[in-house]
Amino acid sequence: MTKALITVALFFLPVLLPARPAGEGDRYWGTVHSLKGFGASYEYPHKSRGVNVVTAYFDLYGIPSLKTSTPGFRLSFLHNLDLAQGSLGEGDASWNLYAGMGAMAGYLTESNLRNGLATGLTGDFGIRFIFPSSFAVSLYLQGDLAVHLKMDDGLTMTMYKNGLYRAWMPMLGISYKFR
Amino acid sequence: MKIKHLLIILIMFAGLGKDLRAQVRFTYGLEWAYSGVFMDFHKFNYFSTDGVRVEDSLSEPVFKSTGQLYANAGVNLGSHWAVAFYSGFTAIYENRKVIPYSLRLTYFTKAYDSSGWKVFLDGGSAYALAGSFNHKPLIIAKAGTGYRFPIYKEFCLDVFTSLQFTSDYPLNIYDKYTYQPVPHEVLRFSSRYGMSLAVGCALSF
Repeated sequence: MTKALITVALFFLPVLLPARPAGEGDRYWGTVHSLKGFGASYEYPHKSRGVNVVTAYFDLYGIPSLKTSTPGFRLSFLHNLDLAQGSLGEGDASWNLYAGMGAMAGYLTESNLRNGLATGLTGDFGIRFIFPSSFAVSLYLQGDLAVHLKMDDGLTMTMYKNGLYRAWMPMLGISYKFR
Repeated sequence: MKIKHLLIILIMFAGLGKDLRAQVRFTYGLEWAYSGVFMDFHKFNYFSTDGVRVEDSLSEPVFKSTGQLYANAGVNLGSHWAVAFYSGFTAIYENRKVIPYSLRLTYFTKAYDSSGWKVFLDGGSAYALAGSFNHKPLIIAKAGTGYRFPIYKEFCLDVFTSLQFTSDYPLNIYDKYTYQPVPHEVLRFSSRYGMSLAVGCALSF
């Protein structure tokens, strides 16, 4: 229940955040690493404030435990905003605490090991370190508030429980700013 | 005996020149990888319920996906060499989860904190969560290469690939006729070898 409340809270956090000047920000390509899955991400500045992040990754639910051998695939779009920021070391590196919300869709395995189409809202919260070497490293949590559609015995629609159950699993993003 | 060895190492370290000592730096890191097992050879024998010795071996073509997660601590010696202790969690093949521990020697073609290639040799053992036949120790050895990207000061990102060999003595065997688990008491021999190829990332600081 606590995990579910944290996930829901993440969705509404960005509404309270301050604006960031338009045009500020860079474009990053990166990879996503987690026990939840691995994949790629692309980040670009939003026209008014914050950044947009598109992430595609293979969902590994049930694979490490050998419950299933087929990975799921998940695509998400997130609009992230800064909560706080600061500098590191001699001021050449920086960090920012951020949160965001957006939408997700994918063909994913549910906690009962049934595969189906999942779609709904997604939210994230994390910290990001930006280095002068053009690398950025972020550590974050991400949860989904989504439905899961299955076609086994006719079309059935249930809550996508794994989106909430696995929100606590940390994700690591490593991205690079191409000039 | 162990204390004596430790003292000898400390004395050797103290005897290093001041310049060299300044170049010795402690490092820490995390490493994770996707690993594909492409060779798996298992030979075993046991007494059946009829008292007959049953011998069997499995060496069919295989490709199984597993993962590796390691933490490490070590020292850099000069600007090209590093020695580190690695431990973590991995599955060496299907349903064989182990906690490996090993020592790794790495050579960096450029200076340690610069962009460049690295090669490494790694050897050690592992604690098998499901136990081992006659408590024999597992052997895990690997060789690999990778490329280092410096991120910030001593903070670096490595991408790497490695070839891993494992020698194991599993306890969990299935009867070739009934497909039922063989009781551990009637097992007389069990030896399993495997090879896998890993691709992964590491962060060190």
